[in-house]
Amino acid sequence: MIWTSLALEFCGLTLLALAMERHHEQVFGDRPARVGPAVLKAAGWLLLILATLPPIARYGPSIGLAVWVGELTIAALAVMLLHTYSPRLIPPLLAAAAFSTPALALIVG
Amino acid sequence: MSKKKSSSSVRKLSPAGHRWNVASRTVLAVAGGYAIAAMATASLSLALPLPRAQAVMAATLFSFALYCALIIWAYSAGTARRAWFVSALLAALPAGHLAMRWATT
Amino acid sequence: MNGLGFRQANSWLHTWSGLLLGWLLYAIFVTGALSFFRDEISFWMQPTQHASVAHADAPQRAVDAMQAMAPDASLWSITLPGPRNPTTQVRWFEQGERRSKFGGQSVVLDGTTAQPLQVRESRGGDFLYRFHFELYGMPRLAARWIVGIATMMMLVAIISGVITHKKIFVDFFTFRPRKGQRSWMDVHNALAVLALPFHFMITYSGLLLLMFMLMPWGVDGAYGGDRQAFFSERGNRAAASAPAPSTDKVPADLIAVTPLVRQAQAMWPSGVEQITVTDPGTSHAVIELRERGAGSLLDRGRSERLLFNGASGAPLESPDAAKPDAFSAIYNVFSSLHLLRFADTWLRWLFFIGGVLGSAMVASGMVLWVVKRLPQRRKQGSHLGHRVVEGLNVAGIAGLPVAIGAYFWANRLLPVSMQARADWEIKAFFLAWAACLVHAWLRPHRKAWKEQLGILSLLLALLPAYDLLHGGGGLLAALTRGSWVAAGMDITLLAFAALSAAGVWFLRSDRAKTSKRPAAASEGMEGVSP
Repeated sequence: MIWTSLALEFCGLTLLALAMERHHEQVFGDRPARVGPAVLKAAGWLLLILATLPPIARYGPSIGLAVWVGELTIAALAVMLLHTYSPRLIPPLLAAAAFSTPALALIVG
Repeated sequence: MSKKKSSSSVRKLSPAGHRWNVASRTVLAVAGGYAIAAMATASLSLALPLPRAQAVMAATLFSFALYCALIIWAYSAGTARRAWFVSALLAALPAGHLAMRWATT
Repeated sequence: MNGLGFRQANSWLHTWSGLLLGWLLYAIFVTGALSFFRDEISFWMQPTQHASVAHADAPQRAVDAMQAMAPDASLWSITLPGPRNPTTQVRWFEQGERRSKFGGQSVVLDGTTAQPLQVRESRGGDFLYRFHFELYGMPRLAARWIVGIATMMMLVAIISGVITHKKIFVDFFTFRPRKGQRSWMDVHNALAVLALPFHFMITYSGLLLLMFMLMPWGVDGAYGGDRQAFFSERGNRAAASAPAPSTDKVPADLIAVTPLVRQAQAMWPSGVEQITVTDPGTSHAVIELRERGAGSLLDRGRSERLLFNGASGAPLESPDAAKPDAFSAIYNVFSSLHLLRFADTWLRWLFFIGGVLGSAMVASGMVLWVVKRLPQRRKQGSHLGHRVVEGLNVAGIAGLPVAIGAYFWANRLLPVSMQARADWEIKAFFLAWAACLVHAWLRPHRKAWKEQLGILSLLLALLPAYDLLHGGGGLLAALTRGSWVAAGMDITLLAFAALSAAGVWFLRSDRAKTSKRPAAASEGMEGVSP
């Protein structure tokens, strides 16, 4: 549960960051964005909302949302530090998180 | 970067004037803000169309947000005079209500 | 003030509302964050109990132990071993004794054998918890007012900070290291914005927890000062089960508790936290099982209960808590999030991290204040005020953790049989803090930071080392036992020791070196060594 929601939050926040020109440039340099910022933002928000489901399922709505908000802080810190110190790591980490999430969700439930 | 007010009533203050300005706003923020929030809490507790205990809860829960807003207003208003004036207007509502209740009991 | 724009006026307000009581706010944040782990810290400060491990049979063994120790008691309260403390804590009240929160007699039992364990006189984590909202050594009401005023200023600082932070969305993930003042600003912003919901919630809920003291005018106005009437009208709690009249109590053996516990554990995901037995050994005995954790914040994280007749095992009806109205629900959500009594390990750690970030946010703000004024001080010279703030920064930000480290060391080093031992542990805390203040004013600013952070690092790192050497095997033994409470504390001490050491490392050269460590000082000092 923890990993699933953290992974979803990480992916969601990464997409929201990439929707910003400043951060897109940090990761991809001068290459033009293949996906428009609007799409990235929508996808990012969707993932963040999906990330509420595992904690709510485990703890109920009120406590689950508190857990979700707390986890967002950690995920956001990770995204920020990656953009600052190793932006090149972001695409592989994003892929790893994205692929591990459904796998783990299936295994762990 | 500072948005200069175009109103002609705003003129640059002397250092002493500045200190009075800050002091005045501070008294308004700290004491006046608390007084207004306190009166509003009492007034709303009586006026809100809820069972008595719930009205008290609602009013008290809200009071800190009100106090905070009043503090911010005291320092954000264009002039100290305007800050006091608007605060006095805001105070009149609960004060009037409470005075009326006190007079009729 | 006149002529400033909205953002600028709020920038001024943010600086002053944050700075004036900043060191107190930092102390409140630090002790608050630690208070989330109050039970764990208290357990860690009882090293002779560390070997205790929970056993599946702990409930029955505890009940049997109570039968031996206090067969004629009017009430037994048994707190079962759990993720926050692997011992069994029991308390009982004699016949006719008033049941108050701290009254009765209490004993700590081993989680497996139910044998009594040694308890050394110590306030434990409760000292830090009480300090958080009642400080120390002053009348309770005065302290709560001071904390309440500081909390209001914190709220103003948060709101004015958000107002003044023009690029709050664009800069959300932004951190630019090695740029002097700009970096400190980025750090302060990041710490504030990334945990903004937590900071706002913890501050507003702090006010709400004190609200009947700070803003009693609603109660007074609507109830003419009759507070009791308000609390009973609002409470609409089912009356706590009153003790049965002691008239026709027939002696009867208490049934086995294990099947009842098993029944409860099937229903409750986190198991049973507490067993309370009223009038044990009589036909009127009532066994109450309380759930660990809770389902919802709306009813203040109230946990479920199961009641049984102690002699027959027949289930009794648990008093249903009435559903709270909307406003009580709001209060309940805020206050349960602040007190966090209900939370499991993961949520507890998340909030602890929030508290640490909050402490760092306050600290970085105060460091930023100093750093911002350095260019002006180089040109125009320093005032006494600047030196005062610098000294208070070091003693307030690095000195407080040093004092906490001293408190922990006193816990380990003071003889167990010492008179007023608990008071002396606390004295060690304050003496260390005072020493840090003197040190901070005597030493050059940058050196003061390096030295206090260095001392902090040593103090914290050597604690687990001490435990390793002094019986019980410390961290290694705890890990092999799977005893995560004590191990968690040791690991956290080492982590913060590493953090402080990193701070010293970042300050290593006297040239302009920027650092992202909030606890480290003065980047952009550019050759100025005050």
